[in-house]
Amino acid sequence: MKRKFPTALVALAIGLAAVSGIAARSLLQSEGYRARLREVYDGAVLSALRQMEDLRLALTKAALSGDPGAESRYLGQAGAGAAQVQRSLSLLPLSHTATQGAVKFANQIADYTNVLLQGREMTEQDARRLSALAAACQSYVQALQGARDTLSAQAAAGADTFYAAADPEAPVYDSAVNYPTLIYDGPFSDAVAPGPARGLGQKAVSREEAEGIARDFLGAERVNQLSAGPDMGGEIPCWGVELKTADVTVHLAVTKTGGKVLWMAPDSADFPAERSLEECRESARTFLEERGFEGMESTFFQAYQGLMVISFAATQGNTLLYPDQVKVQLRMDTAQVVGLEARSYWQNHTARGLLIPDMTEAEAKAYVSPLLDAEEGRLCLIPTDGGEKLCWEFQGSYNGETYISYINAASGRQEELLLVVESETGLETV
Amino acid sequence: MEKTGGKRLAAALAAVLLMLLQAAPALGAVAWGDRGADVTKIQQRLRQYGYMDAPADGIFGQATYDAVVWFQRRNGLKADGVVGPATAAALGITLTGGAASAAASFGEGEINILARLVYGEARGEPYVGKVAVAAVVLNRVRSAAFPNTISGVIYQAGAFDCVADGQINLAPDADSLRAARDAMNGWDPTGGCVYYYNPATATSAWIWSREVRLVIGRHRFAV
Repeated sequence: MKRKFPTALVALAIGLAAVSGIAARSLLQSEGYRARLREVYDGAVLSALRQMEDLRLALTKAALSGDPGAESRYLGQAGAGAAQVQRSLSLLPLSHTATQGAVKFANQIADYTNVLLQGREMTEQDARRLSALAAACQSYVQALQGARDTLSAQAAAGADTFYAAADPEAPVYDSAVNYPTLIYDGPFSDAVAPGPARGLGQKAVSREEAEGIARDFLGAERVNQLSAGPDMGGEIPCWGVELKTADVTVHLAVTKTGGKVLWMAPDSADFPAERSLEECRESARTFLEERGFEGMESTFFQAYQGLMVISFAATQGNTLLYPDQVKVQLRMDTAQVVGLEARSYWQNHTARGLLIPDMTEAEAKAYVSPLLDAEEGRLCLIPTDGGEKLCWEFQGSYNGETYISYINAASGRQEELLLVVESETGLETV
Repeated sequence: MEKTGGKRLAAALAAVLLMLLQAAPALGAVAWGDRGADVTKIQQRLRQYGYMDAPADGIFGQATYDAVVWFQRRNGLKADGVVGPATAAALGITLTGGAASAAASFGEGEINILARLVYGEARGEPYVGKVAVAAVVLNRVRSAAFPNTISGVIYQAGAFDCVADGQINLAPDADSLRAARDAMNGWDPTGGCVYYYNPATATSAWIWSREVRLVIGRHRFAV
């Protein structure tokens, strides 16, 4: 009898060869990915290093230049350099706790140079501050040099830096590096918090009172069931309340001081879109008036998933107060209010003093670019870094697009220029 | 000889004119000369809100154009007589005919990635928990200690589990998209938090040291 050549063995051999072929191929592939990632990381470390050195140089030159024109140039370079450093750092395989100090440093430099570039004259104090920042850069340069050396050593030793980022407590290089923290107070420092909320008042409110407030706010007749929701701590502590209406559950946050509704949101949406923007606007306006938000004017709107979201700003006389903003969400089948966002309003709303502009509308219009073909102006208050400014608002168009220009009513400088964009969901400004 | 030449020229001009007329409205928009169900819907709405008396016959003509322009003027939209996505949104209707609007709106890409993050991180969470997760991302963008763009924050190494395990590439559901939009519009149930963690799965001692401001579902939100 002819001995059967062990076909099973042959089959097994072929199978093994195939599997090892596949394994070898995927190993080669992952080696390829690993090598590519190493290239990215090495590139990022070197870029960050070089950009930090350039940043130090730009800051030093800006501090010591003495010539306003050249100062602006160096400050611009420093601002751009800071942004680049931040981007390179974010490419590194480090957890955010390891890079946080350096990222914050870079962002604050970018803010600071921006402020200086806005025309404020550089004082001696600013110059000293810039030199101090430059000196801090030098420490970072040294830390990054250490990082570069460690990464090379690890690569030489065959260590796997690929997965290092997944563990938040194991940065690639020594986390004991002492990042110098910058201590200063300016518009971009840590010390600037939004401050106490101006519109809330002083009255302390208990949970029971808050629940009553929430029920009345939505409309007692709409509420079938009330339960407690999660409470929120922080700068504006709130009681959480959940209200069940006939077909949707609404969540509210009522402030512990003042008993004001900070925000409200519905659990579900996708209502059939049957009502128009105007009906919703009227419904929202009535809702706000009945709840003590007086003199609100609608500004922009969006519609998505059966909800109409309309922004309102308070007015004082004829002046529009943009910092005092409330957003209202309405269901588009019944035009009933189901959502509200009033943090800005409660943070900022207070009776301002007399808002009298230093220049007339015609004088302000002269500061608007002739390309914009501005229409009628309107007085308004706009929020700026750490404050508010009284401005004349002009709408104009260029090349078929609508723009809004805000001219400072005291200095004539353009505080803001916004482009009105029609998006899939409605009108927005950018 | 001239007669044929003249006819040819006229035909060419007519062809060009036709092409121009057809190319005028953007994809997904309804304009003068269009017919069909979308036009009828628009006309019915305009009649309902009192902008138009003429019957809703499904043909976009002079009367419809005038009514649309009037509506657009009253609502701060570009008064060009073309019903695009923004005008349709204001009318409270959805246009069904034609392809989806070609032009992506400003920042739509970022809303999309934010929605995908919410879906990956907070799929089983209550709706307010989803908004809170989206708000944490936006709070990080505003903070000096984190990257300055939404994509920068989301793709920061080791920041979000769903990025590391690929869940961010799943298509988001409607709730996640709405949560992302609400957060972009300012809803922040966390009051400024920049961290969140699941106490059942978080192993890092460092995250437990952060001050917790809010607990929703399985997530603790902290600064």
